[in-house]
Amino acid sequence: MMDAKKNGLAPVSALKYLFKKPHTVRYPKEDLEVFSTKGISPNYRGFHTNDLEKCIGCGNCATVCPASAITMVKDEKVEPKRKFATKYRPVIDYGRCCFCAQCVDICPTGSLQMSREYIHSFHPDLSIPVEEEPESVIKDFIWRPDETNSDNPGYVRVEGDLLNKTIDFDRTDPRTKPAEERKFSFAKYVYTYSKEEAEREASRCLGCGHCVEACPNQLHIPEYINAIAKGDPQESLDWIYKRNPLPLICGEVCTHQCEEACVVGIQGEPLAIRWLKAYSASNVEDYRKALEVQPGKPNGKKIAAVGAGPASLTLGYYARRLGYEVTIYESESKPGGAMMWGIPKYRLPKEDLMKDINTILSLGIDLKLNVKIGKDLPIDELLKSYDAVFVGTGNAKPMTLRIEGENLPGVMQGLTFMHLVNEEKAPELKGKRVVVIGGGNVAMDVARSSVRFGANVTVLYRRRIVDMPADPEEIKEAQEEGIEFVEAGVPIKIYGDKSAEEIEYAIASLVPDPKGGRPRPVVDEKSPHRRIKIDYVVAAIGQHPNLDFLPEEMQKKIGFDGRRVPVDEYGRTSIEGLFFGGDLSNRRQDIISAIGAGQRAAKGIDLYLASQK
Amino acid sequence: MELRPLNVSNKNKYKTYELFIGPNHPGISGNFSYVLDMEGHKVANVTPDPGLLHRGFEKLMERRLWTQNLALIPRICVPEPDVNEVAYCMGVEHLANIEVPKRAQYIRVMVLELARMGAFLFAFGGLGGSTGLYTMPNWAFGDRDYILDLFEWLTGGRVYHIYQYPGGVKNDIPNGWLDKLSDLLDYFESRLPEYDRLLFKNPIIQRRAKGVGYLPAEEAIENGITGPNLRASGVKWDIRKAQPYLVYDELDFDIPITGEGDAFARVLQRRLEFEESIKILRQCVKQIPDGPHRVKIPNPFQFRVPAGAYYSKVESSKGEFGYYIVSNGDIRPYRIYVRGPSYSVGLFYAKKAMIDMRIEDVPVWIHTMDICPPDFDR
Repeated sequence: MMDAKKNGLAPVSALKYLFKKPHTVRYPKEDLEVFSTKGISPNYRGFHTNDLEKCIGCGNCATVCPASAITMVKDEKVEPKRKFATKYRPVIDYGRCCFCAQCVDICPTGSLQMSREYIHSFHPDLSIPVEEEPESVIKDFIWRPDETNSDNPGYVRVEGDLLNKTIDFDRTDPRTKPAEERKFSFAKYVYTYSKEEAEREASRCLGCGHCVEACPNQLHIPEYINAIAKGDPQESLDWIYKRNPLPLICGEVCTHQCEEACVVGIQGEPLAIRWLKAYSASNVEDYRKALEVQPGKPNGKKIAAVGAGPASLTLGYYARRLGYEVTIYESESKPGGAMMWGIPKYRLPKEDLMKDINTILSLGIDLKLNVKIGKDLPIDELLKSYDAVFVGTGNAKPMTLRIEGENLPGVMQGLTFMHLVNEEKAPELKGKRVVVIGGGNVAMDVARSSVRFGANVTVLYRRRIVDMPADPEEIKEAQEEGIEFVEAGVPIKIYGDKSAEEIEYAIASLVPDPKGGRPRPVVDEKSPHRRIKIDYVVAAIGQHPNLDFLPEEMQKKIGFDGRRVPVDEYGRTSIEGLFFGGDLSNRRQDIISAIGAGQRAAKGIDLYLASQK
Repeated sequence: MELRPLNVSNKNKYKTYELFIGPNHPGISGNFSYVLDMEGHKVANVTPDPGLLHRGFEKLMERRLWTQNLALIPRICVPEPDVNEVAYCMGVEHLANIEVPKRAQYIRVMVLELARMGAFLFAFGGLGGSTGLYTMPNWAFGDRDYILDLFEWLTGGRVYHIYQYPGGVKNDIPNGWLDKLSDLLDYFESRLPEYDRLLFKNPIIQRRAKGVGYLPAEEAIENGITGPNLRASGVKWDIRKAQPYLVYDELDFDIPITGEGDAFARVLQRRLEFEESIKILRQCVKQIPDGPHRVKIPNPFQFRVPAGAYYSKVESSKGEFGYYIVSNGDIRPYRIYVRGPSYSVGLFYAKKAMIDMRIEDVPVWIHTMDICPPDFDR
């Protein structure tokens, strides 16, 4: 094929290369037309750049690095912009980095990028003795990337380029009943995940644990999601139970702050952490059998808890596992507190509620129903006959509207209304007009329950819809169910002879808050006034703790100001042996915070009683 | 400290002497050495001495996530890293049941063929270098830099591209890249006659390479020798044709056969296949469809490959490059075995083939077999 070609002049033919262009690399190095800049190619993987303010310190870059080149090191100087951001920032060891860009591909915020800078020059100081050399070498090789080279971007993942990120941004929501169907029934309208759906959703988790800090009780979120992704709901439940003995309740109605913190949600949709918890809880038939939970060895100490709400139940669970004898006193006929009487069935079916509560009670907790402390049994007696007393009675005293006509029949408090609904003693609402005042979750529960009874519902809120403290999905679903929202509506007066017939409200002007908070509604002479015909008014504008069952000097001694009981980390007060927890002392009034207070109080009581020995 | 077993012929101290070839010898490719026992200018016995480069890749992979391995595997074959990435990704995709978009498959073919051309240029340069014709390596490595430029533009990396990802490729083709590729192919076509004049039609090269290291077809098959080395012995076997993967069945190309089985035939075989690669690339430029360049897979920490085992293989410039992947359904591989094409040639067949070879033919044999030592040290 290739025959040897003998040619005496062959050496001379080399002369022609004298007139050819030199054999050097020309493009992309010098292709200005294509790249518009000189030098190496546009998406070269060089040294990193990091927007330190945008970075949230989640540590995913460090975890994904195949060469373990990245370490998260605290930087006190940075001031992160995002909520829940930490002060840890990646520090890269360029002696290990292999420039594979997996850290850039995973960075949830998009702050970590690569530049086209690649020349690594350092000047070892030869005067330094060999023993001290490592120090200087470290300075040359290890540094915290910042925006130094960001004017020369290389391998970048621009914001919105979701395909090229290695994070799965698309959330799998559980199937729900359409609004038209669900608004006629109190049946649960969100279905639990199927196995495939749950595993698909769980496999979006990066496992960084950024959500843990946001959770009021710091649940082991990455661990239990990882167990679901592995297809093991039982292991998942085991992780949940370490910090939350009410998994199904939280799975259905938790305020899920973890999802706000979820790093996947920065560019896409956050993980449905709450629904995943509901999945693992509802997939285990018998918690106690599955988790092999046993009460601890009896230690002869007795604890009393007042009010069978989430805080007391949690305290009971963890104290019982430590071997304490626990008695819970409840004034109502059923345990559960606000979970039983405040949350409508379509959000939390009663059998799901009782599944969690019965598991806790089955550990051998003595539940005394229909006992009112202060009336049937004075608190002093409890303090005498028990080693420690925990009070978790929650917020029972509703805030009043303080307007004319609020004592007319037909004007109700949100919690009273929900109590009636859950007792199935709600007034006949079919075709009636109901106005709900307030924008919290209770207001949404009242409004949506009324819709299910066939009422026409209007929600009156003094700020904008976006300012409502209720969960956004609650508001969205309420709107889908045909509930009308009036923004900036401030009630002025309720008219009526025998019962409430008409309500007058003013449209307030919203004054922006100079500190960047929610705007302040202001009603003056110029504000337009409107009146609508009504049959019922339900005020759901918040509640305060009711500590009337305590003697007044005791209230004074613990420093109760009518709104909150000041307690320390473990729920201790200034009265020895008396612990408080739950809504009456928490900053946030929700179930998971109450669970946290209950668990901390259990630890506090344990520490307190151990010190008594 | 004597780590090597003593050679049999070494006992006869008066007849043979020991000669190292490698690890930093210009006649050897990479950090690897043969310990030759010489009887005069003839090889009496040969002991391959690997382990001077990387070690323990397969074990390392068991401790890393499926996608983290993508930064590690290109290092198993330095001159042609992309075959590792593609073979690994194809295996993972098969086990995880991931459908790769057509565009990604075309991009993969283009990357593979460009890498093949780059590796062939290395082989041409290798023959020149080992015979003292240093113009050839200068030309070949200079031209290979144009291929690396294209890689750098496409992937962001020059040598280790780390460009493949289960489900597709990491970046789409940049604007203007295909035009540049066409220009480069034109350039290579104009260069080939010059290579011919310099290397293949060179009477000295022909004298040095023809008839050296004859490899009969049966022996090649027996020893697991694949790729251009096998085809140079006259066996028409190419995985791209025999068991087509990616989109090779949509492309029109030939498998040239030389058949003489000697060192010169092996280099000539590569020279002929170089033209076929140009042909394949031209078709890819024309046929590449629009569409997504990757499909999403779960994030690296949750990417679980269903339990199973699969052997995925691609035709590299040196022969069959395969990955035997075993998964137990976890986020990390259970076991990965890498079948490199040089393993059978450089480590086992060398012990047989080099006996009685003259010392000056040893580098020619090594380079025409295109031995790539990282294969052994995986």
